[in-house]
Amino acid sequence: MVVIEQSAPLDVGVAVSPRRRSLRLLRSLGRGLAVAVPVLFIATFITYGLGALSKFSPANAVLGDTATKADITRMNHQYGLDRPFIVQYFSWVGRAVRGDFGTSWFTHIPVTQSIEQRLPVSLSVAVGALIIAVVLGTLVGIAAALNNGGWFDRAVTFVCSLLSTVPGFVAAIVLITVFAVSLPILPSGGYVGPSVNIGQWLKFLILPCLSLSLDSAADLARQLRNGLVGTLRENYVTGAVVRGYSTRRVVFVHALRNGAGPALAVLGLHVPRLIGGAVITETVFALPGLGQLAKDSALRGDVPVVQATLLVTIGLVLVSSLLVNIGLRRLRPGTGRAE
Amino acid sequence: MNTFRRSWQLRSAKISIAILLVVVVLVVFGHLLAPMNPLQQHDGQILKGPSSRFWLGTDYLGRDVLSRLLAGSALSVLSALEAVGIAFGLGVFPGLASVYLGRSFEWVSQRVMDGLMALPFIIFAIAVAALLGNGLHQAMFAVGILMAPGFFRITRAAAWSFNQAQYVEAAQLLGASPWRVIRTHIWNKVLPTVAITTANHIAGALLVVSSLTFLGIGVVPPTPTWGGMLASDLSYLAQQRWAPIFPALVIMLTVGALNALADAIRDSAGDSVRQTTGRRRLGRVQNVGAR
Amino acid sequence: MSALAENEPLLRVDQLRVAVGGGALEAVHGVSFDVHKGQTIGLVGESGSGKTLTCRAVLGVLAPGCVVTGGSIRFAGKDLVGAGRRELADIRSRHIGAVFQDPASYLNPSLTIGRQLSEVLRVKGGLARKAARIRAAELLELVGMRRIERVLGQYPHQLSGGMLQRALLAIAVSCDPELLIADEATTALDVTVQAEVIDLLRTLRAELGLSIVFVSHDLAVISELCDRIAVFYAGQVVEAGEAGQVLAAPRHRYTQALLDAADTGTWDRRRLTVIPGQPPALDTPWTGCAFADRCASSAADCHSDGIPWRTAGGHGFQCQHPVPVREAS
Repeated sequence: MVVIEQSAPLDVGVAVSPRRRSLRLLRSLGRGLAVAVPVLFIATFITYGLGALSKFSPANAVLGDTATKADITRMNHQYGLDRPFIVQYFSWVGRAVRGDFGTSWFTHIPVTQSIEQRLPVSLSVAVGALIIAVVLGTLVGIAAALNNGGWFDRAVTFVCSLLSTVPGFVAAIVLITVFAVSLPILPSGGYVGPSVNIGQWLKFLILPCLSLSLDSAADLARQLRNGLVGTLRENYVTGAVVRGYSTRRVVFVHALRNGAGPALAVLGLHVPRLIGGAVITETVFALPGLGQLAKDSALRGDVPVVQATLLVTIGLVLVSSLLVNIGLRRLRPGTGRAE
Repeated sequence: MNTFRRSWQLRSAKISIAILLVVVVLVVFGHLLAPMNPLQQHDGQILKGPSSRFWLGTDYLGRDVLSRLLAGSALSVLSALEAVGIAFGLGVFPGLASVYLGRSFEWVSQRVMDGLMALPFIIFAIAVAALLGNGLHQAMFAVGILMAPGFFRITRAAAWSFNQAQYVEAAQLLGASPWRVIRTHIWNKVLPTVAITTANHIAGALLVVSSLTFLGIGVVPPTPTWGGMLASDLSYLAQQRWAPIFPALVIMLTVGALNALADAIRDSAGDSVRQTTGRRRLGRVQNVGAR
Repeated sequence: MSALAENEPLLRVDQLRVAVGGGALEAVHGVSFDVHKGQTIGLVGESGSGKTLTCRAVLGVLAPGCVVTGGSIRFAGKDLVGAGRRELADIRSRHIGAVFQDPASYLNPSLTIGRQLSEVLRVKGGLARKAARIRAAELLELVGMRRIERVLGQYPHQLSGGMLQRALLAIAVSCDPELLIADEATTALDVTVQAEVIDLLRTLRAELGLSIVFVSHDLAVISELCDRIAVFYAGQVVEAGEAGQVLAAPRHRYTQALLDAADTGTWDRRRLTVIPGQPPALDTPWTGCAFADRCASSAADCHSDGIPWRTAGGHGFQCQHPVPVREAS
């Protein structure tokens, strides 16, 4: 040890104090919200406008083609659809904020109730897929980067490119063929709530989650691999090696932090896909989720339900991208400042 | 322009172009090349494997799979092109304009694009198709609108970086009009970037079209489409495990060729293009359709 | 680490050969030099002459595709070329420190200076969090950093080049190494900052008893700091000896040419000397003296192999037609 003579101990107020850190977090949250609000406004405007433009009306829904002009006018008035568009829009937004999405034109069930019923299914699949994607993508990506140029790396690159050329449901079909048809060990579709039977719930979720996650896992692995290969070449990685750190420390503490940026950004793009893209997975595996609800309602012309599902999805998308942005900024303080 | 000439030299580009030319032939002449009527149901020939009569076998109604595949290519590919065409128009020109038309236009266009990016692809396309009349054109219009931000951002980023270049500044100082600067200096430089984005988005749109037709959106049942064939194959998976291979392979080849072509152009382009479109395989719009 | 035997060098590089391009092209052709305890050796030469490759070989961080193909590197009697990964990591962390050109790139951009400094102290020095923090501040003080509390919480992009080099030096000496390798450590810095860093190196040498391998292409900087000099040319050491002796009375024609080119004492734009030509490319083999083609004094025998390494009182050189020794006046 070096001995330095020192008269008085130094006062070391190391790094950023927790207070300043949380302040910074708040500020980036605020900045995110400042962007999110106009985005939400535009997205909801389009969503509501879509319903207004459609040829469907509550009278059609109830009476079908036998609805007379008078019926339509009466029902439209009853649902407030004869008001100016902009008034309708703001009253819809106002009610939506309080969790009131109106009632279905067909079943007359409150839309909120249907969504509350369906959302857990979609979220189970999305969260499950997210977990698989992150774990699988991270492990494979890191392994490929460390194997840069080797056979494993090339195999990963090949499989990832292949996965990016097939529609998501093809992976689902392959998984069903293998696990449900050829060696029937998993159900090909259906759903049981976790409160009914948690083992069954997991069993029904495995294939949907896996098939939904593959695309994201592949993309994540590829981005992480490219990012890591780039950072492993950086001088500060050499610097860390020179300091005598273990490979694990060099990769996880020094390289990953800087190489994970693009991967995290991609993850931000994928979270909405896992929520919105679940329509197809839900159809393939016959899951009663939000996507199915949206699809069935759209095909029936049940405008309030479609609007509500779109709005919920948009909300989830915005929240997830906000979280990812905050994560990115915390991971790489330098990039936040460069803006 | 050198970028394109250089990229044609690459082997991957040649293979991709060969595949895409075949696809174009299928799109234009597919219905003529089909050996049989794609809608005709052959009695007693249900769910048969490949044979000398039915090269790729028959489906659950006894229709010839090869003929359906060939006849279905036009609708699948043209729909994708339709969506990308709309996205191109709504993305590239506002993207260029946002660099030159001042801060307020910039702000508004950015926010609109952000808003579009928050909308989920498939659900939105389904909603539009269903609510505005169940047609593939409506769905493709929706997809086109949602893809516009991709073009907008990439064009904007490219134009922005070139606009900072000194020769552009020099031209502006010499009194060239903004329109002339765009036409003579920016457009040529932005073109490779736009080409890469276009190829990637056509690939993405094809996947979306497949997904939508798979769900039965916008198409009336007997009409053959690649995605629709996969959907019916799924129902008869127990009887015909190999059946999804053919439509899936056609989609994979087309999408793969488009992505490889985009990579080839990116690889032959200069650093600035690589920066705006991301490194190879970094910026690819992967499975846009899944959003 | 075992105590050094009498007269045993701390670092002995012997006939080191390094090849690049996956081992196909030899770029360092049998380089030898010793560093004794407390000594500072300057490696001088043009860019591409193999100084940096030699340093990286000593540190065991050759770039991918570069391999040591021959010779040995012994640190305190231990062979580094054949050493295991763990052993090497241990020697690197506790006994050899290193600083490089472009300090900004050698610090992790997303961790604060304090975090990176205490990381070394905790992982390699075995200190607890609190102790590491206090020690980090002491180290920054040692390297002459001002406003230490502030710097500890800052990220690399918030500091200037000179401050970054000080921070890197703090990390390099944090675990009390015997040897410091400074690879072009002052090259990218402003002249004034350069002088400060050299001063700092002197201080550290005095306070910590460091041996230093100082790489530079700047003879003026080398002459200020080094006890001994090894002149590199085309992957070989062509002349080595006491700094004063080599600089005052160079024997190798290349060293002479280098001194002439760097002679700023009688700086005159019209007479700025340059060495004509370029060193031989890696893929073109040569025989005899690598400098012969650029040398004004070369003769036919310069092109044949077997030019001996001549020594006179610790001053060695490899030249067929050396600069004549000036009579001491």
